[in-house]
Amino acid sequence: MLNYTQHDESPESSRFIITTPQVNTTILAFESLDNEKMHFNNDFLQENVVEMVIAKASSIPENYCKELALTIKHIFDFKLESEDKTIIYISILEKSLKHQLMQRFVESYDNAYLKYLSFNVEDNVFCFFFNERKISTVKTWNSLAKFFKDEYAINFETKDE
Amino acid sequence: MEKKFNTKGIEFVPKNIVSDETKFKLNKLMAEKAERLTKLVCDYKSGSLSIQ
Repeated sequence: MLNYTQHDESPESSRFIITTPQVNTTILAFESLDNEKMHFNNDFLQENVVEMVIAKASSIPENYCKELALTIKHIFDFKLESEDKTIIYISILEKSLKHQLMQRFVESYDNAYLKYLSFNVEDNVFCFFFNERKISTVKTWNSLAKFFKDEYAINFETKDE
Repeated sequence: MEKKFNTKGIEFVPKNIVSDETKFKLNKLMAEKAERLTKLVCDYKSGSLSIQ
């Protein structure tokens, strides 16, 4: 696993600086979503969804190594394990390097409590991760389906239907 | 659906055609996120993220 330091821990945000041996720096941030950033019009989602963003802070071209995926997984695990009712939201472009990183991360996931709901629209992927021991999958799905229907006029079906 | 809820995750796709208005709103959402990413990197480079 790579070295990382934690910055600016607060109820609104927590940020982690991850550094590779080649001094390639990645910022991993978890931010609360206020009404201005994303208006869910739903107390359950507004209170519990935090956005996870991954940013490269160095000029070296993007290259998400296996160790970076493991380090993010470690931090991610800790958040879902230690925090009540957190839903981690990630929005990324489909087939991008970050999407590949997320897929690698999910494939390696061996914790039975991890659940995710992924909404693929056009070239965008909106993914919501949560701890099933603390958050109801059905309640999360119902809330998100209503949000997408009300806000974006989209009704969803499962991908293989 | 219940069976799917027992898996690790479920992927969904739109059942209906996505309107131009929705595409515009989603593009705006992604652009705003990109702005937040840029600001985060700027804050880091300027040293305004404090180490705990």
